[in-house]
Order: sequence, then C-alpha cells, then structure tokens
Amino acid sequence: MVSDKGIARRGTSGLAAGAAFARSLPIIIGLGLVAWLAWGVNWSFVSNLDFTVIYKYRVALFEGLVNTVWITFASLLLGLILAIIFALLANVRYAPLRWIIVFYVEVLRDVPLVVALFWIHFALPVVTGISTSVFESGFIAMALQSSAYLTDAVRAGVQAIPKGQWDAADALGFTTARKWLDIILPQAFRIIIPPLANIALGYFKASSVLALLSVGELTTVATRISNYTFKPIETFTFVAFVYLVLGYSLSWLTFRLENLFETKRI
Amino acid sequence: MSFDTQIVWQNLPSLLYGLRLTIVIVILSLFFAGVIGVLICAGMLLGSPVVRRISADYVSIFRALPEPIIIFWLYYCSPLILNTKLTAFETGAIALAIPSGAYLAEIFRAGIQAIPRGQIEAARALGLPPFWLLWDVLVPQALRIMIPPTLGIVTILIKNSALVSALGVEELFYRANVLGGQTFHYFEFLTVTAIIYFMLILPLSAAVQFQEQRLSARHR
Amino acid sequence: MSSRPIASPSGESSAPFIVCENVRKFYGAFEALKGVSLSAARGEVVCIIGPSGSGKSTLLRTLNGLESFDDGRIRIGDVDLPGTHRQILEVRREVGMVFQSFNLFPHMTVRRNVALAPVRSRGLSWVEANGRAERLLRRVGIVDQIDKYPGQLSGGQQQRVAIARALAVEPQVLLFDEPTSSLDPEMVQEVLQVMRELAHTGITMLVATHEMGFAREVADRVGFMDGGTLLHIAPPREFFDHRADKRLSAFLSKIL
Ligand SMILES: Nc1ncnc2c1ncn2[C@@H]1O[C@H](COP(=O)(O)OP(=O)(O)OP(=O)(O)O)[C@@H](O)[C@H]1O
Ligand SMILES: [Mg+2]
Repeated sequence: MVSDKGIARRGTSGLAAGAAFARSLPIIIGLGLVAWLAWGVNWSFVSNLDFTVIYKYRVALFEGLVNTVWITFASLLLGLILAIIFALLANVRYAPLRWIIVFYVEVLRDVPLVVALFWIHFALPVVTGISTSVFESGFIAMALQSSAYLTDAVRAGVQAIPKGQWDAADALGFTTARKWLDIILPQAFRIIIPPLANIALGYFKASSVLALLSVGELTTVATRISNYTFKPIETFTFVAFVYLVLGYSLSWLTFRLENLFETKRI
Repeated sequence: MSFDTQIVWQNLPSLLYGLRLTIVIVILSLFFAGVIGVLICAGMLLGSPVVRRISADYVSIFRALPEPIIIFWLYYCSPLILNTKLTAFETGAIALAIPSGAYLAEIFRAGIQAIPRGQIEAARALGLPPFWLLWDVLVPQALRIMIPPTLGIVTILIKNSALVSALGVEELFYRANVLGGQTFHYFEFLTVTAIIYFMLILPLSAAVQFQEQRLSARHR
Repeated sequence: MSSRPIASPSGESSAPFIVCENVRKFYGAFEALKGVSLSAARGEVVCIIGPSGSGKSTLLRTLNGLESFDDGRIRIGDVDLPGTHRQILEVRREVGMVFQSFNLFPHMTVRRNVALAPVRSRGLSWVEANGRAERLLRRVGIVDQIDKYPGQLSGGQQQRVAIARALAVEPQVLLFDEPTSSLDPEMVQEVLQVMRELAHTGITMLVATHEMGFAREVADRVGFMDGGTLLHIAPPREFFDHRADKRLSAFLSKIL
C-alpha cells in the first residue's frame, strides 16, 4: 500500500525501476524457493500415490471426525457453563475468590494444552485416585482450558453492558438472580458471540493436539492409518483437507450467524 | 500421595537441558517465521495479483490447519518426498515456523496498513528521502502496533513447541515424560514442567495484556 | 495572463516561481483537473476558493509531486515536473505543505517533528536543527510546548507546529490545503494570525481555504475553482466586488 500507487504513478525513471524491482522481488524469491524445493524432491513419490486407502478406511476416518466434532462441542459446552459461573463469581465482593479465578484463568491460558492433557491423564489420578480414560482426559483438558478463555470473553461481554442497564434493573426492583438471568446475561451473550465463535474454531483445530495421547479423534486415526498402511502422504493430506474444509465452513457459518444477530438488533 | 522433591532435584539438570532445547527451537522457528512473514507480507502488499492471491492463501490455509497435522505431515511425508533426510529437530523447527509465519505476515500487513496515509504524505512533502521515511516515520509507528500481537505469537510458539516431543525432539515436555516413565513420578515431573511453561509464558502474556490495555485506553 | 507583475524585494519584477499550464489530471475516468493554468511570482500570496470536490487539493498536491498529472506543464523554479527522483526531492524542499489534518508524526516530540526534515534532507546536525526548531516554534508562539507530543496539543497548536515543520527546510513556497477546516472555531484565528505574519515575510503562499475574510485581507490574488477548472482569478477587491462569473457569485452568496 505504502509505495505501490504513489511511487509507480509518479513515473520518475529511477524510482519506477526500483518499484518494479521491489514488486518483482517476491516473485523472484518465490521462484527461487520453488526451484530449490523442486530440485530437492525425489519425484518418484508421485507414481506411488494411492488414494484408495482413504476409501478403504473411510469408516475409521468418519468415526475419527465424529469424535473430533463431538469432543469439541461437548468440552466447549462444559467450558461455557464453567465460564459463566466463574464470570459471575468474579463479580462477588469477596476478594480472595476473585484472585483465585484470576489465577485459574491465567494458569490455564499459559500452560500448553498438551501439558494440561498429560497432567490430567497421568498426574491428576495420583491426587484423586480416579483414573480417566484417554477420551475423558482429553475432554476434561479441553473443557478446563476453554473455560479459561471463555471466562475472559464472558467477563468482557458483561462489562460491555452499559451501566444504565444495571441501574434500570435495580430501579425496577429485580432480584440479583433475575437481574442476571433476564437483563445482563442475554445481552452479554450477544456481545460474546464473535469471540465465542473464534474460540470454538480454535478448539476444533486444537482438538488435534489430543492425538499425542491417542484420544481417537481424527488426527489419531490418521496417524494409525498412516503407520499401518505406510501411506502418510495420502492420509495426512486428505485429513488436512478435511480440517480445512470444516474450518472454513465453520467460520463461514459463524460469519452468517453474526450477521443474523446484527440485523436482528436493529 | 506426596510430592517427592528429592527426585525432582536429582533430575532437574535433565529437565533444564530439555528447557534449553525448547528455547533453542522456539528462537530458531521464530526466526524462520519472521522471514516467511516478511516475504508473505511483501507479497500481499506489493505483489502482482497472482502473488497477492498466493500469499493470502498461504495465510488463510496455514492459520486454519491444526499444528499437529503440519508437524506429522512433514515428519512422515518428507522422507518419502525429499532427497535429503531432515532430522526430527529440523522437521519440528520448520513445522512450527510455517503457521507462525502466516500469523506474522498478517500482523505485519495490519501494522503497516494501520499507519494513516497522511503520515507518508507529510513525510514525502517534507522531502524526506525514502530510507528516512521508512526509518523515522513508518517503522517506529508500525513496530508499536506490531509488538503486542507478535509477543502473542511467541507465546503460542512456546506452547506449540511441546508438540514436537511427538517426533522425539528431546525438549522440555519430552524429558518430563521420559523421566516420569522411568521413575513413575509423573505427578512431580509434569507439575514442575507445567510450572516452567507457566513461568516462561506469564511475563509475555502479561506484557501483551498490559500493552493492549494501554493501546485501547489511548484510543478512547 | 491575469496576474499583475509583482515587485520582488529588490525592486525588479521576476519571472513567476510557479508555473502551471493546462494541467490535467485523471483519477481513472474521472477528470479532477480539466486544464488548469496558474502562476505565482516570488512572494505572492494566492488564495484558492471553491466548493468541495472542485479540485483544490488535487491542484496543490500536483505542485509538490504528491500527485502525478497527465497533461500540461508544471514548472517549479527551474525544475519541470515530473522530474527525476533527485529533482522531486529538491522541489519538495522548496515547496512545503501544510495539511488539513496536520499529519504531525505522533511518535515524536514537537521539537523532533520540526527538526527531522532539516537533518534528514538538508544535512544539518541535530544541534543546529534543534536550534532552528526552537526559533521557529517561538515564532509561531508555542515554544513552551516544545517537549510535548502532538497528541497532547490542541488542534490550533498542532497546526502551528505543522507550519513550523514546513518552514524548517526553508522553502520558497508554502502550500496550505484548508489549514483551518478541521479546527474548532476558537482556534481558527490563532492559525490565521500566524499565516498573516508569514505572508509579510516574502514567502510565496498558495492557500486553499474557505476563510473569505483572510483571502480578502491577505491575498494578492484570489482564484475560484469549480469542477476541476480555475474559472476566475483576480486581486481580492475586483474578485469579491465584481463577481465576474455566475457560478462564483452563486458560491459567494451561499457562503457569505
Ligand atoms: N485518490 C482519488 N481517487 C479518485 N478520485 C479522487 C481522488 N482524490 C480526489 N478525487 C476526486 O477528485 C475531485 C477533486 O478532489 P479534491 O480533493 O481536489 O477537491 P477539493 O476541492 O480539495 O475538495 P474539499 O474542499 O472537499 O477538500 C473530487 O471529486 C474527488 O472525489
Ligand atoms: Mg481538499
């Protein structure tokens, strides 16, 4: 944007040449990179490509996909419920409780999901004495971590509600419970739909991390198929494609959803 | 149950060695990501329509792909495709850099485009030579906008670096698992590891939040 | 040519410093300048008025190479635009510009805003340039704000800093593009006062403005632009009292 129009339009010879060079620089670098990569490639892999493995293992892949969607949806639902509770508690006057919530949110945000996952699966049973299945561990890890991000989103949504709304509810003699359920939360929910959709998309992607514990979602299935059939290129490329298509559809859907809410508000 | 501090102390050097590798791989992939980010950003802003398209597609594809898929794809497929064999460490560093580069490209683009046109016009009207226009006017303003989100990318990179343990790269998380398996003290090693990650990331994420609050306060 | 010969300080009449002939400018298919001819002698003050979208900004911006033009001739001093890259930088040192929206550099102090261009394009040392900045800021009456950032100043103060910044490279010509249009009414006068004082220093000024009082009082000539053409240009008395053009009198009666 910076130099593009201005410099090119001015038509001074030296600068024009410079701009033309600058503009073709990415092409030159790109072509160089492609040439270098092509030179390093052993092209015989192309003749060995065999995408029938995808068809052969379609049922396993589909089950993996279902697990991915299911664990994402369920853990986010639990995460959202937790987040609403935490956001409510964060409004309590008792300061230590607020600190605990701040600490909880910060810890879960700053520890990698895969570390939380392994901690829940291998370390937590030492404390509680209850072991969880890998699927349960994955579910708990995603729910807890998403609850941290969602708490922030819900809190921001609640804070975005104009002070007049709180005053109006108080003036009308609402009880605290009614005030939250009828006035505050419905309005906050509208505000948090965009960040909520973003977090949901993020966890659809992040569920792939659970493959490090072989939880059995799509990436786990892909790893298994690839190890069993020695067809990693076909399997992983196809699965990457599935993630892309689903991710794009999801973001398209949330975009539509946001628009719907936008128009409704007017 | 009790927390066995003794065993943690004994094996702390091994854990810290893993931490060192974590930091090395983060810095290395951050460097590659920076290079990718600058190239893709230049492609989006200055390229011909085709280059623009390719750059924008790179960004949207690698932002949407899960990191483990990129890591596994490279790890399992590169031996079949490339003439040379990449080590697990190299694979991990490249795989981490590819999506981070996409994020950085987007941050750079937004940072440059956020500078009002009037700034460039004023500098040109003053007769500032192009280098000084970049150095005195554009770069400082763009940097100020880009630093908080770039720190955010660094925190994500640190978190994702734990994923390359799956390739056998002996970084912090890998070491924690190996030590846990050898001693059956998973609880101790995983807890200490979680604390180390927390202490690595907390200052960065605090800085990001602080900066963002300051920026939004100034906009009001 | 409607311009009267202007006496230079030494007493001899000089060739015009700025000459445009038949300048045309297209934005895509839209013709923003439809053959504008205008010249200004050294030390002359020319005000340009006209409705929004008439091409005042476009005309001023072609004069220092911020916009290209498609036809006609523009000569600044002894450089024909568009010149080489080097010549354009030279022209921009001779032709300063003050913008409607100030465009101060927000990340630099007032002092550095003013001192930057002399250092970077005139090769002064920072010490010399800072001294010059101080002198200029005293002249526009805000030397006490010298270590503040632009965001901490009022609009009128910012515009005065912008004038000092433009003066710092010691230009022959200053272009003003509606310098008071984005100011609160109470700040307009402080900026006009600075411009009034400048007009008496012998610097050439081209001012796009809606301030008729200022034009009448300070300008040597006033021009009227509409729809990309310079319809009429004359000394202020003749311009405002005779209203030679129908569109001009319509415009004036709307504004006055
Ligand atoms: N970059 C551009 N691209 C396309 N059209 C433009 C561009 N800049 C200006 N124009 C058009 O050129 C015409 C003249 O614009 P200009 O800004 O010179 O008018 P103006 O007389 O300065 O008006 P104002 O009083 O609003 O500043 C307008 O119709 C405007 O829409
Ligand atoms: Mg204008």
